[in-house]
Amino acid sequence: MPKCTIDGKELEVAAGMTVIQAALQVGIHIPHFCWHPDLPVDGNCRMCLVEVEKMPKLQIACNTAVTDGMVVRTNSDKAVQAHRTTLEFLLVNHPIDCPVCDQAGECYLQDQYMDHGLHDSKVEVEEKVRKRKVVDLGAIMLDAERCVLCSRCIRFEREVTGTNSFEFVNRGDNTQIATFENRPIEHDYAGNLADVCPVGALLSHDFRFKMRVWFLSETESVCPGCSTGCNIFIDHRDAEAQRLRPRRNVEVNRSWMCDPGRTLYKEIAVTERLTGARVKREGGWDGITVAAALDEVAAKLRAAGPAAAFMASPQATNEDLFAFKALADSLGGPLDFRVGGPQRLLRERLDQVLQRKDRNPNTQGALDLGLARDGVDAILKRCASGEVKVLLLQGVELLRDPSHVDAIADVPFVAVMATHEGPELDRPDVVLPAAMWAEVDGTFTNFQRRVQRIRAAFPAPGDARPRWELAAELLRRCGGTLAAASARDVFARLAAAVPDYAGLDYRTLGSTGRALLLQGLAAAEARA
Amino acid sequence: MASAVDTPAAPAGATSAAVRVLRERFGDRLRAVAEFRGDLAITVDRSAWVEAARALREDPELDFKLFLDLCGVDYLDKEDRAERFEVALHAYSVSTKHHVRLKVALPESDPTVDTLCGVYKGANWFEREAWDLYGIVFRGHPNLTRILTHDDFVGHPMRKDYPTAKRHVLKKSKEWLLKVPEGSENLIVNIGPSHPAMHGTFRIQALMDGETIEDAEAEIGYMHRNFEKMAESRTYWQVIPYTDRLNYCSSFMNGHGWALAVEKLLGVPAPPRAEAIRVILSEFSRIMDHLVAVSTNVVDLGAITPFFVVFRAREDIYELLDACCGARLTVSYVRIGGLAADVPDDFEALCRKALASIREVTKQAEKLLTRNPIFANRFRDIGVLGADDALAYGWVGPCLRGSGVAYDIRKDHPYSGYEQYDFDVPIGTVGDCYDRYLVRIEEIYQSLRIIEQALGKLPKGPIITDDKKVALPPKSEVYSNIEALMNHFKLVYEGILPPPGEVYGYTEAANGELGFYIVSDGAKHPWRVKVRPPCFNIYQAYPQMIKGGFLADAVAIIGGLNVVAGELDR
Repeated sequence: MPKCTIDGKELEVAAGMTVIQAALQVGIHIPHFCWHPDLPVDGNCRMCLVEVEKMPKLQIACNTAVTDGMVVRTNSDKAVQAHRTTLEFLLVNHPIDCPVCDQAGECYLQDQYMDHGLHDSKVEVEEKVRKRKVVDLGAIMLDAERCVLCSRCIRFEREVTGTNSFEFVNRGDNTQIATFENRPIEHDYAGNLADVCPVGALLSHDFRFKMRVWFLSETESVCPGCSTGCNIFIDHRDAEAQRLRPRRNVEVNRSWMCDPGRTLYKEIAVTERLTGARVKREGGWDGITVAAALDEVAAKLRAAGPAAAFMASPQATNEDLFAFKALADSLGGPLDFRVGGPQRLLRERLDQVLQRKDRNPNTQGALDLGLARDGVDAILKRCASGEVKVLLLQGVELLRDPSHVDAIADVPFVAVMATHEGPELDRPDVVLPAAMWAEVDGTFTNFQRRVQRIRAAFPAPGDARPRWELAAELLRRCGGTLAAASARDVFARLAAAVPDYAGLDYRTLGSTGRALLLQGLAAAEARA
Repeated sequence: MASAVDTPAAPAGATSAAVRVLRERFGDRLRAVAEFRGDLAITVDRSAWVEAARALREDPELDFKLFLDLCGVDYLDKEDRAERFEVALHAYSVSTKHHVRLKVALPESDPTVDTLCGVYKGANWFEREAWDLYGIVFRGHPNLTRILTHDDFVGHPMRKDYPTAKRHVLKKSKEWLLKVPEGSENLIVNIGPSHPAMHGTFRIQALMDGETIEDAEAEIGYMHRNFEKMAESRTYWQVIPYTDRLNYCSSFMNGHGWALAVEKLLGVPAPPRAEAIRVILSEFSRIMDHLVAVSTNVVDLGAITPFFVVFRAREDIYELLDACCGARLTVSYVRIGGLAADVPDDFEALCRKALASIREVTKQAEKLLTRNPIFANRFRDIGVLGADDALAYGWVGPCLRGSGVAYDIRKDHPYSGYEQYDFDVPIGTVGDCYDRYLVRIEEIYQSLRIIEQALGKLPKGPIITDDKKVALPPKSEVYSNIEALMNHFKLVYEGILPPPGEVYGYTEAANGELGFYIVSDGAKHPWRVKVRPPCFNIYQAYPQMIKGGFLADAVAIIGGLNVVAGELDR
């Protein structure tokens, strides 16, 4: 384990670690463009030059392995001047696009100019080399003038998606980034190209001109698109989600997420959302308060007792599922969640990068918490035979399948927790408004059996409540208690009741989650 | 009238007398001593809080008799701190010319500390404010109730976890501020909040025995906009327009004070030309404020003419400000590190025009007032506050100087180049309304002297610092090269990033020491800004001053205190 000193700070690092990575461990951020923690090193930008004792020339920190006894200065006069000079060269042909460039606010050039540049320009704008602007590549937009030729996009295409879409064309001052025949990017990971690009050369079409990033607040969460559970940030302003972007987790998704996942922020928007409870009466639907709706549902549940059936949803958090099961157990009726058989698809890959076939975030959590119990078909049979008097659905999965809707046609009372309006809500008798994943604190367990936290970015609209709260309120009206006032409390109950989850709490889960033991699967196979 | 002695500011290291004395008395209960940008901050244990404050005040070597400010700070989720809250006391010693900051840390589970009302009279309202805005409990406080927010307000709005989107419906006014004693036939009279004699929206309730005021209580907060909370989500630059709306009668001075406080935090000074122009405009603003104070005061007594006379001069000052920055009242002309733009070509001509008209109208007003027997009868020996009380309440400015205490920051701790100018500071002897009037009138003449000198030696040069992390690049650069464009972008959306630390910046505003206590955690928004509002301390003494006097005298006194609601309530 070589020991080194960086800017006076001593540290010991793993063998083979580069200076730039070692510096990060002690909070020193060496300026860079082409280096990326999840891409192979290229060393072309020359921004991370540092002074290494006993070496006459400056060395690039991204490709210099730490040797025992190495002494590094990242802010010596020579290093500072090198950073400024590199920046100056990179800016020689850079267009004055900031007012129309989305990258402003998260641009490496802007940030590094303030910290390492602060020089005056020596170039007239007429002298700058002009290149192609506004090239439509499908999900992303290319502006070749803004490119600093760091090759991150080339390396991403080569290493992560294997599609090799980008190459450098021309040479010298006219070098540009391009796709063959300007063909658009056609895989599901184009959004990451906008993320890796340190400047505004590659930008997301969907986000283009929508919002300046300095107005956005970020909240840590997990994408609910599939069982992979990529870690993400929700970027939002004034209770409206504006975009999703990946959050680095070496164990799950590295620095990437898929494009279908990115679009999921759109479904949180209020216009399609269910914001109030309603109950079916003689003449039609009546809007009522959530409390009144819960009273009606609870009355039916109490009267039915073990004749009440429960269908959970793998879209729900562990906290939701735990409360739902507590309710089901208190009444003694049948319980399951496997509509459509998500557990069979849980670990099946959809592509070679991140996506999985199970399009639910918490199938594993539902399995772990024991919600795969009495069988969906068995419950549907009992519904069709008239045994089931009350059916409580935690999600709309059952209602989306016409054959299942037929099977429950004769159930006297059906209540559902739902997030969006839709034709499937015609069948139930009571509709309860549920909060979505971006509006609640909770946990999902991904396909690797990794328990990861999601956090509420903004409150749910109207009367919508977290599903666990709805279940806890029903439980209370049925004479039981969850003894929990927050999602954190529910998780504490859960950790006490489920042996595999023992010892976990929100603090230990932290920002990157904790993996539970996964039988029958090698660690390498489990990784994204 | 006496004139204050011209002495240079003493270095902060000399205040180690305070550290030595406290260390001797309290040992380990003196938790920490910090010096930053010349400010001395001493943190003591909760158990030593009152005695430490008393020691600072009463030890003859320390003599911190002038109570300046007391405020709460919320350090929620700051990992380097064990306790969530802090209370900070600022005090000044007129004899040793030193400021000091005394702090105590309080845990979230028990944000309680003993009251300082027994040490400094002025602490009363400040502790109420800290209770109101932070929920800090001051044991032994005679009346720990809300002061700036409505009685029905729920929560403590300055806390970092207060839900700012929360709406309160606050409809009921507080009818009774005073209790009528059992069986009494006394009348309760409300003066304000909507009363022309209350120069701004504040309220006094008086228990009358005929024409005499037996008891009085004040209610403020009608103009509370929580400037300090706004500042916590604005960049240092964006705070500038808010400062205009503190004492809006002399708005430039607030911005001047703010800019100096931030420049102190940054360690980045403004260039000489900018400082000289700041002095000129601040002195014009001081004149403006004094003209309002004096003329509206006498309007309340029925002398309407001086008001119409002196406002002509105000109009000329407005024209000057308008030419400089486009606005008359709320100017936002100052910038961190200098000024927004250079003055127009006719600046000197406009200044001289204003100087001439100020001289003229002040003479006229004096002719109507100073030797007028009716005026003398209404003002002499009315509203007397002695020096000791004035210091204990935290009086500053013309009110303090009227009571005989020679403290003017322009002389004692010169800033922006004030040491280059010759001027006198008028000091009163009786501490009555008449003295305060005379002090203000004389200060107008002295301000004219300062402006003439500053105009005479106005240096050429840049109008703002050339530090690229503080000042915007010139527009011609911004539109023609990428470096300046990026610089502009970063300064606008991210702003200035000061080092972590805390400073107390103070200037001699029209009403006295206007202070800004700024706590920075290195981020683009200040963590905490506390305005040390001179009016707040001054008005606190008012209910006591009017007890036993006539209602008519209460009206005479209030105008002369020059309480401006924007500064009082923030």
